[in-house]
Amino acid sequence: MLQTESRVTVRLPEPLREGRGDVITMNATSLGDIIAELDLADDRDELFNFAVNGDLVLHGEKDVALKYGDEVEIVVAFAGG
Amino acid sequence: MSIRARIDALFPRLASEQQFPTQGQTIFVDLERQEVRRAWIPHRVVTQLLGGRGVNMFLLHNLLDEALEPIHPEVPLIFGTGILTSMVPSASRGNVTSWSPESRVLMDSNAGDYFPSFMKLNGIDHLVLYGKAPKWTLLHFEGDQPKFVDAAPFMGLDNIDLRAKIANDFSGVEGKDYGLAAITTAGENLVLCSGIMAGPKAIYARGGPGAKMGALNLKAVLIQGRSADLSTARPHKLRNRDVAVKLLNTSVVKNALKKRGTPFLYKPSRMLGAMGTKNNQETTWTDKLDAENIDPYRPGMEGCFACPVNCRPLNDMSVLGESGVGSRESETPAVDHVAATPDTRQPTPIPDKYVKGDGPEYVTLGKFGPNVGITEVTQVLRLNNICNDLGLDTASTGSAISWAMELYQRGMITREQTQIDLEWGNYETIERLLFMTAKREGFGDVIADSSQAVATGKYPRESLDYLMAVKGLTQSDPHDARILKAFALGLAVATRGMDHLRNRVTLEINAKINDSPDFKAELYGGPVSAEPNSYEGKETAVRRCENIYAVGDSVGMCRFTTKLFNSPSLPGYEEFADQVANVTGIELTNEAIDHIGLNVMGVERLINAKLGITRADDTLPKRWFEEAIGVGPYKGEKIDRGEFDKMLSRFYAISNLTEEGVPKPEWREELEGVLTA
Ligand code: SF4
Repeated sequence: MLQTESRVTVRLPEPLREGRGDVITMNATSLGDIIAELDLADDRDELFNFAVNGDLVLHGEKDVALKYGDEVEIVVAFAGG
Repeated sequence: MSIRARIDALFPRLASEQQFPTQGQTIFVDLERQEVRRAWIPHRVVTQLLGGRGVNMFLLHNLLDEALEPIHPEVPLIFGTGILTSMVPSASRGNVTSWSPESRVLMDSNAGDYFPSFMKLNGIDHLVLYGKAPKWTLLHFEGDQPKFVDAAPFMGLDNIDLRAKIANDFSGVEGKDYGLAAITTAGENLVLCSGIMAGPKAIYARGGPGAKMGALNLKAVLIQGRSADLSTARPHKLRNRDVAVKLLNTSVVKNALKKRGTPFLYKPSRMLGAMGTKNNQETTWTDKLDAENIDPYRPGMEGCFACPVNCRPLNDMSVLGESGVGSRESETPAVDHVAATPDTRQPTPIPDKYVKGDGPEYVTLGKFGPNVGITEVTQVLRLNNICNDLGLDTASTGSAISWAMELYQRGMITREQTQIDLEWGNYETIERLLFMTAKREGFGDVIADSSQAVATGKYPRESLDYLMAVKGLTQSDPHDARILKAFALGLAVATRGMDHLRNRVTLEINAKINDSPDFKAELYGGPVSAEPNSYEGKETAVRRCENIYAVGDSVGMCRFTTKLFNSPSLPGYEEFADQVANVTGIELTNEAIDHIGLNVMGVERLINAKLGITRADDTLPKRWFEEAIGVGPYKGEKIDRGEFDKMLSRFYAISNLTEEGVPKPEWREELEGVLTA
């Protein structure tokens, strides 16, 4: 039951798809879970930002809580142009 | 004192021979009298300001007569090439500097493609142009030898046709055989939002360089050949390989810049609720303009001279036959330009030369998308291609149009005055207006005055409340900076006006960096708050970025590939110092090179002070202090005047500036020693 309650969809950018398709679902109660699952921790050069239900997250990323049905998008947040 | 007297006074302080290997000459060209003088920048100036933008400032400070008007032919137009330009990967850039007729403060604009590299390849580090040529002139350098060519056959030509004719008449290929900096009809007509085209798209854009060059009766500068001896002080190619590897291994280069170019930024700005929309009355817009929706129209990528990144997306709308000019036959355009169909919001179905082109950058996407109410990718692409041909700075032109649209919306200007319908998203009007602007026809004459439209009596004074500009220069990019306080401070203090390329702390949008306080403090040389909308420590980050970007412009490195602009992992002081030492033999520590960045800003502030700029000008548009963001995760955010003012004071303090924003007396004396000794 818990598993189902923490199900979220994650939209991946092209460089992170690795044959997984552009949308995956996973169990996650925070963005920290997704970072761990996709092995994105500690790579500060990777300009991947998260948007939760369309709102971009700019700090405190790991602690952003998620609930069932949340839509997470990983955006290549290219910085300046 | 006349410009000639100023040059006479400067000459004894210049060197009469080359100061280091690969150094090029500084060539002074009197267009009125067709006279040429040559000198070298002395070693002591190079060690304090390097080259490119830095040395351009040395020259402008010495040659500027602030009693004149910016457009006056005795106010020189100065091209400079970076000290490493053409010799290090991604160092393909150079600056053009003057007193801006558009903003009326310092004009300094950077471009790539080929012109700056061909300056260096022909032993020309700086080109100081002044005096009004008696008739329209094309300045043709064969190597470092100029000829004054009658430009009559090229007059009235815009970028596409001009470049084709020059390739034909001078029998060469741009980028291989020559570099070309040229103005279009907009420059000929002294349009204040016009630039100098350095390639099919590359443009010295900001501050009205096109008008400034037009005022000299100078249509083009063509530099042909590769005549300079660029033997370096020490071998540098091995280190170049490291630089190239570093560039190409950086995630943002691999995943974004090389693949799609800068339009990537549209999506995060939109999702943040920071996408300048309808002259910043709103801050989010359609996902139809996200970069992936441009993919189908991108046949490939282009790049500047010897840059391995190739970040510039090309566009070709004929491939899907839905380009707004929709035909596969458009390989050979049937017509030159067909105006948009007036009674629909769609462009014409007849193919013309704007079916394909170079770009867009994020700036153009924002300025000709949300900022004017356009939602269709193909319409943005077409406006991009038209601006490239007409030589219009998309930042200034887009901003001038959105300003006009807001005034129209508010009833401050009427249909009676404009004779055109300036409703948001009216594609047909916008397209038409671009051509009218280049010719200064009808309401185009108002857009051509850009931010000066109040000063020239075309708008009422109250219109200034809605002008999104700082120091007379409209915002360069579409990111609304009410949320990110470091962005806001950067736009306020940038010496050329409201521009992100001078000091933007772009990594403020990187959550991973924000969440690593130690790493962030190390990156910027002091603690900087993790919260993007906090004011704490943001001055430290802006200071560090302003220094490194000024150094980047002085060595000739592209901003996109300079450390801190797009990634913490791109080449920075270490690589710059190593290659300056290898190429020129001049040894600089990281601290010394950082101080050069500060010096460049210091000289720019001295120039602006001569032009009457004070602390009061280091500010932001009224709207950002008074109106809050209405959407997104930072709904309610605006700039607090008190907090902003304190942040500005802290910025001055760590920048060795007085409370009025000019170098403190001791440092000022030091700088004046370099400038006038
Ligand atoms: S990164 Fe892009 S804009 Fe910069 S020099 Fe290379 S190709 Fe030109």
